[in-house]
Amino acid sequence: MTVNKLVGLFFAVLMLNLTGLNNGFAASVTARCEVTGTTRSRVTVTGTGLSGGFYATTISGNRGYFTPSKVTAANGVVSFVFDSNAAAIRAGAKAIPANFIKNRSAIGYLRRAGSHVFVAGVRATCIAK
Amino acid sequence: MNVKKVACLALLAIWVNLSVATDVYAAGIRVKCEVSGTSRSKVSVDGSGLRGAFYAVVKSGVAGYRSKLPNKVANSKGEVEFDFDSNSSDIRAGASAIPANFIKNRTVYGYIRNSSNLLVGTMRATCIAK
Repeated sequence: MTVNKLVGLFFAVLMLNLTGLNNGFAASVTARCEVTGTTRSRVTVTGTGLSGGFYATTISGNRGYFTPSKVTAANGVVSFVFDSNAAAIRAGAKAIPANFIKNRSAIGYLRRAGSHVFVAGVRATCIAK
Repeated sequence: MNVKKVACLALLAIWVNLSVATDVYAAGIRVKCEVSGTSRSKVSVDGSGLRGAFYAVVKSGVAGYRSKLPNKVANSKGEVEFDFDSNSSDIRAGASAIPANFIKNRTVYGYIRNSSNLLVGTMRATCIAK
């Protein structure tokens, strides 16, 4: 198989991948979190295969925070960041306290903007840095 | 940019994709469902970024079904998959049985719980109507 054919194959695989992500019937939601002692907490909630407006909520311990709503990108992806880091907040993250994450566990929820219809909730075990 | 560089970039993109997919600190859930009138219902519940053993529950309307025992252990990539189907050949192939008319209003909720019954993920899906 020539290099050209390999390149073509790789691009075909990538294209199929992207097509799958755009399938409105194959949505997925991922939550990820990082905690640095009590000096920094960060949670991201990402949805794929979606269309329309959404907002995210995160809960850890007995506290919760929610973001303003955001419209999905053309590729069906919508991503929300919660962070205690000032630079990340200036860059658009929703502010959370540095000691927000308790027991290295956070739950991320995604809901539709306006109707508040529940889309998904995922419990993540956080990276301890 | 020559062809070899493009090939390397494509390989790098796939590698990064796979690395993200196997990140055990990025828990995720995907629920897919299909309904053919009242003649067939099919639901899949997939979890990612998981460690340990899990079971799934699907709910639609007032009905709910649990995946069959034993609980499934997440594979080395942290993935666990559950299939629910009303089709007999799929049930023989390992899917958990649900009634053909299980799916109501093209809406299904899928839940993944660990062996301690802790809820790991839940998702509401709009089903493909065939």
